[in-house]
Amino acid sequence: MSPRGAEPRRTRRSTRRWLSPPRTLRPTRAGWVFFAFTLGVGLAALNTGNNLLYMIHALLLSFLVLSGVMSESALRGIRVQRRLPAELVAERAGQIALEVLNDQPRIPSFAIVVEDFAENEAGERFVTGRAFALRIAPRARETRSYSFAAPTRGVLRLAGVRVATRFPFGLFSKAMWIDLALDALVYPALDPTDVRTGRAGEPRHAEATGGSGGAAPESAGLREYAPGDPFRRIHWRASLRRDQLLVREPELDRRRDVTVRLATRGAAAGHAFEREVRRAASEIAAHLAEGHRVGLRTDSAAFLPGEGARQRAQLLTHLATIAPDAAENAA
Amino acid sequence: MSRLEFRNPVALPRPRSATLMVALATGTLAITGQVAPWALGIAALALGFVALRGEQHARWRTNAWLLNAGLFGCIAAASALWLRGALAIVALAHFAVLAQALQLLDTRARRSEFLLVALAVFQVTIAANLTDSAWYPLLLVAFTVCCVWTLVVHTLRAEALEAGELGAAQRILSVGLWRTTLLASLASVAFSALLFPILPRIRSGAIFARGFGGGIASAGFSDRVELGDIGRIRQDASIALRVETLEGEALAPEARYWRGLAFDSFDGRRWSVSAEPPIPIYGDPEIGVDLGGPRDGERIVQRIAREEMTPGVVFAAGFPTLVRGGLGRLVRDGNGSVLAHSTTAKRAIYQVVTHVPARVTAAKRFRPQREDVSRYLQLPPLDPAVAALARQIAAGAQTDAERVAAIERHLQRTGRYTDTPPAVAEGVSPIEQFLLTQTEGHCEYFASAEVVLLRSLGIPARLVNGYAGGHENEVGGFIEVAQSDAHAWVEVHSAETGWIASDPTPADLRLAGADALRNLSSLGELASALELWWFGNVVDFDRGHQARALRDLWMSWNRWRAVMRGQAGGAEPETQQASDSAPGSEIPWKWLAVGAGALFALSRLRRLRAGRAAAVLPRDYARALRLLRRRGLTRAPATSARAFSRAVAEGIPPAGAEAFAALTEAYLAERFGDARAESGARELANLRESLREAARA
Repeated sequence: MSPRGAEPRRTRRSTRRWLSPPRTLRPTRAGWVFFAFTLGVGLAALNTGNNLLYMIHALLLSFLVLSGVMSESALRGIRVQRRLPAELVAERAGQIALEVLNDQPRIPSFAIVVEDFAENEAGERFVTGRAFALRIAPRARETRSYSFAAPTRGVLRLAGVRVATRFPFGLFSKAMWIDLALDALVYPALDPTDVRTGRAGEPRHAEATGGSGGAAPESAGLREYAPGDPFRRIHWRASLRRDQLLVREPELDRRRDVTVRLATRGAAAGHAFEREVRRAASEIAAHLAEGHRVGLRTDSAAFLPGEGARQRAQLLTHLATIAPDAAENAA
Repeated sequence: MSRLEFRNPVALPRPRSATLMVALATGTLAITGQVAPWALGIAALALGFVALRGEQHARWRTNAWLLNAGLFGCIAAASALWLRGALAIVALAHFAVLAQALQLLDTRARRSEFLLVALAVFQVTIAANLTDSAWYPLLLVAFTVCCVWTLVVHTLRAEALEAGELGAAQRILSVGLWRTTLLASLASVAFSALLFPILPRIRSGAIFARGFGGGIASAGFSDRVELGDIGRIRQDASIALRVETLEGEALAPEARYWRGLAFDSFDGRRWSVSAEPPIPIYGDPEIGVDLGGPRDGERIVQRIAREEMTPGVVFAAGFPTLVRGGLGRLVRDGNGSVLAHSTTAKRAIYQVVTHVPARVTAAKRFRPQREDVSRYLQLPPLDPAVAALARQIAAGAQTDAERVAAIERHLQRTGRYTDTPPAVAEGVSPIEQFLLTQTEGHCEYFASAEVVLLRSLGIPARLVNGYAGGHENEVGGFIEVAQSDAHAWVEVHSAETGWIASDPTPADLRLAGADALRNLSSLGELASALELWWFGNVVDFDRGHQARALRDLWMSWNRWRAVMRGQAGGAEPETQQASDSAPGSEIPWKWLAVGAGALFALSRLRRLRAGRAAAVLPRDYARALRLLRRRGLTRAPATSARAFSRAVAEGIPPAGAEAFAALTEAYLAERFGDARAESGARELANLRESLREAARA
């Protein structure tokens, strides 16, 4: 996943930012009632000249002002940082962390709701998740996360976050927009695939070019855990001893070279193609999890067999953005 | 997802402040005296129940049918009151009190606490229509604090529950939040105090000008006096008038008379005003109305705060010549009394200019010349012995003035003052009994007797009802006149000077009787003075006040500019002195000085508190923390000293980081190792130098 900026989009965002007010204020249902009541008391005061009604009217107006000031003090100085998981896989929930910082030196922020927004191809925004912090002390940070499952592979355009609060009286929802534009890459959905037998269960579109296959590989040694390594290869006892995650390396002589094939030429974009991409990605992930050396060959690109997390990222990244008849060069 | 409505109903118990808020709102209605005791009793029971049992679960408290039936009961009770002739606003007050009690008992999960708060605000608003008690603002301030706390707590709880953080919702109540709420409430009150005087005063009266809330007044005066009433009024020590003398000599206690109504028609028992239509007085009292009238005697300007009274009599120390205040339309009756009928149901505050008439002995003739005063000679059928008595008393007198003085002296000498006159035998006129049998009674008896005797001699006279005497409020510098100071005296018509007052009641006995009822301590006087301030500056605040405030502001601004110009151009000392001594220019400087002093005290207090907090740290470490804080590196309360030292090392040059690490270790050794730290002056200097270098870079 990598940040990607297109000029028209940047211009559109910039224009939208300039046109939109720094804060949006929407009365809640109670807020509308409060408005109406304040107006009614004001009219009654004007009608009767009763100074106690004027006093209540002034008090209600000051409530409105105070509500604005206190909600502003809750939002002022709020910064948000987003942390994405190591990989985003379609249809699989991943935890996206939102770090909310209160930069104010003295004033705490209350009842902060952060909504994370993404954009679809049409430029429409939708909420990917929501986090809440009841109180953020001055110069402190609170980290919250939400679970998000991207529906499809490809680029997920995260636009920014909307920070809102209904503090102090619940009469208004005051919100501000913070641009946190980021293009996140979503890998194709991964289905559980059994690639251990290599015979009856051998996937049709994968070809074995070496190794013995058969039983699960035995460990030849330990190495540091890398993102993408299957959890079941973690050597927990050694990890505890060394205070870092270690995974078992399979024996070299049991490894197989597998090349997963995916036809792109002549294929039409649509459900069938997506199913093929999903199958290919699942096979790649499964083979790599078994410790095989896995490559990928499409009609326009070929990746030599390799192993480890880097190879997994390379192949799944390619599959995340692949399209029919794509003219891409092999890495 | 909608952010405009809480999705999850809150089932947590309400904060205690909600109960207190409801109690205060009900209290504001209670002080109006318009809510029936049974309704207040129900509210008190509900409040007591909730205060003792809290939101303890009971099936009936969540039963929607039962609670709805209760609501219908509230509506029915209020409607019944209204149908039986109560004012709509009073019926609404009853509904609000009962519905609020029901809402308090309701323990169903709720999405918003706004209904409870809205009902409470509704009660307070209704109370504003029914009272102008000085207790109201105090209750209102307390109510504001409770209201803010209740709303804040509910909002935070609802937010936390919506986010699924039940624990946070229960932990939210903290001292910090309470402090925030208190500050918010005080800010709200302060801001509303700023807003209050600048809101436009129009008093359009376009809607519900009549009938909705008017007509609520306590009994006091009426246009008929029956011998015997005054005894009952004298038992009442409540305030009737508060009088400030703004110009002229303050009157001595025995010379203080505030004229109310004069009565010309007497049937032997009752005094009344002849059915002569009142004459409208043209002009706007808010600007000031010239009432004409005699301008002999000493001119006195008084500001009078009159309590609710029927009818809306404009009291004055003599005959008013000019009146100004929010009195509405004025009329004058046939006996010269000024009435403001629109003030019947409310307190009236006005300024009145009067000319205290000369004493009765200064007049020579008491015979009508210019005006028809025949009705002031009218007498009921009386025993001829009364006329004989009048002639006997005035036997040696040569002039009318001497005759009046002789009758006045006779009554003062022979009469005995009592608030409880003896019973009158059936068929006998009380005045005949007073004059011929038992000269014992209160001021109305004495005044009636003098009028009857004077009229028997052909001297026009009338009975006047008003207040006399009063009590000096030393705290507020004004005179308090109680209902017990109600008094009746006589006005005698003089061809030269018009109507002149004469009081045949023995003053010492009357004043002694009235003083015995009054027992105001300094605290009571202070409360009364505050109440007058409240009436004069808040309740009675109107367009006139706004205009005067604007004018004063403009004049102060001009004075200030003149002072500034004088200082810049080397103004003459006299001019400068005059400007400095002007009352308008003194006030801002005084307030500025007070504000500066308060700020200084606050900063000292904060420094002292910071010093105390720092005292637990070794001096060098505390200094190092201060240095770092100036560079934006603040140690959060939850951060350990070593963790902070590591965090600092990432943000400052290595030499400084090393120095701070050494200081941290020294601090930890002293704090937890029971070892006295050596001086960290060198490390501190290194840290300072390192930070300076970093800043320069």
